[in-house]
Amino acid sequence: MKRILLVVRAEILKQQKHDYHSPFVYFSLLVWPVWPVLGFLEVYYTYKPFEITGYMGITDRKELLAFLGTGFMAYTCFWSMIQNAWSMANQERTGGTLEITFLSPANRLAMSYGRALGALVQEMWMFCCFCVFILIYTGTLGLGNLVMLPFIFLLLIISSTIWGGMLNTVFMFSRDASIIMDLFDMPMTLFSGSRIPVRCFPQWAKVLSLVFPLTYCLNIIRLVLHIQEEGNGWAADLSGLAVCLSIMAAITVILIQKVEQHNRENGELQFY
Amino acid sequence: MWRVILSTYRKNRIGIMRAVPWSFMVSRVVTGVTQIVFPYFIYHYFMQGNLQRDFGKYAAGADYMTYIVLGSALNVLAVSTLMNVGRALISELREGTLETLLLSPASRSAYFLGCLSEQTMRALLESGTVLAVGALLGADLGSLLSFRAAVVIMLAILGFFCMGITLSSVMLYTRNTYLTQNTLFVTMSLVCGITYPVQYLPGWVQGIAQIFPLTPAVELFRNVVTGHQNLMENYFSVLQVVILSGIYLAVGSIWYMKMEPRLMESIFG
Repeated sequence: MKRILLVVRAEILKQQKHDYHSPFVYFSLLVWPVWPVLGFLEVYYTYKPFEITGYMGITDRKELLAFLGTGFMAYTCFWSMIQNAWSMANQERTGGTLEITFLSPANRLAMSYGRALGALVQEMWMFCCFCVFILIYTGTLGLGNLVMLPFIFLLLIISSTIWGGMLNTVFMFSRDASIIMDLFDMPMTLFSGSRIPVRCFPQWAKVLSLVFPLTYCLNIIRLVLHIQEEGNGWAADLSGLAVCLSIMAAITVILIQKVEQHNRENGELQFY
Repeated sequence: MWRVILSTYRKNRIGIMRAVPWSFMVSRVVTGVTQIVFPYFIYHYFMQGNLQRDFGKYAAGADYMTYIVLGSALNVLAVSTLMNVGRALISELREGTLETLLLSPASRSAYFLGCLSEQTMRALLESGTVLAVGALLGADLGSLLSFRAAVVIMLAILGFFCMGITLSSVMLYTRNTYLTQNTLFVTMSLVCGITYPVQYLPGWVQGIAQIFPLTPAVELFRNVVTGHQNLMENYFSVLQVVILSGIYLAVGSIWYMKMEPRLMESIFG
């Protein structure tokens, strides 16, 4: 366990050394949440042409904001992990260091999760910004909920790391694998309930939403913050999430073996 | 001149076909399709068609899906053009081929035109896919096949290309693509009136929106396709696209020319 943690930590440190090289990067980190906020505003304004009728328990613009705010925060955590996993896999490939990772004795799973976790700093920063936003604008954050915040944060970190780690393994198959990122990202934004309540979907879309760990996370977060009590309650969502994440971890383990085999056979010493 | 354009065209095309045949096109099609499927879901499943009355006024009588699809198709065109033209030089830098390019006698404008010509076919295909999906989702695109619409699309590509030249200088200057491009694209889809009329935005944001060629272009596109107006009725938007193109082209090329000597030094040094 200690060795695994060491690998994860080394991977995170490596990325920070790689990425944080100039004041511009720190500046961009500072303004980084601006970007999801712009995306968030776009979604909010997409709702503007519509009349809010109280359908699905959203009765006014403020409730809509709280609903979209939680959705966006959780989605961004997931998204930044995937993005990080992808850009790291890509940089290792173009930088010619991917084969070194195959030669090292480090645990592959730990490396994969470490790559996703490189986005940890951004994610924490994003989470804090979100909490301030919720506090000020929507008033949904009470004293009772405050205790739950670390729990929510942990939940998001764990699930998004496992998700990001799985996709990172896929990215190692081919340099053209970024298509996977788009193919996973679009259904995730649409079906996980980050922008539209899952309950109003037709049955097929509801079934599809169960594939994404983000769906369970959002149900739990909204339940805890009393924003919109969707889903089937604590226990069902938590166990659903656990099942979903274990399947993903299992897929990751299998894929890691396959990808290494694949690259040994088809790759050259310099993959790119 | 023509030879440089043609060889840049071929070089870029071969590079893409061999290295990343899928991701370059699919990703933008997916983004464009998301941009129309998401409002479709809100419209049909969540809000069940409950539009506010002022939407009809702002959209000049267009129905919701047609409005969204036309905006999104042009947005895809903008993003592709900006991305492919804007990233051209910095990609050369990263792949280690910029020095060869800088030392060659090829003119820089021909190089950029080559990039543009290579990507335009792909970009049109991408936004055509969005339009096709849009038609399946119920958009009324009957009057898209007209000479006027084609002129508007050409005008829009000109605007995006000129903006791409400035973007290219920004990227070379900051040595950053990720943040620059994503900030730009998310800002554009927020303020340019892609999935909702700009009139819903605060006044000052509407002002900012006017510096992007996409805003007048998308307005023009909708007026021509759904409003059945001709170009003379929209001379102001046409003029705006042309003037913006001129400004972006001038800023981008002057900046680049100033940067080039320094670039040489930093690459070799």
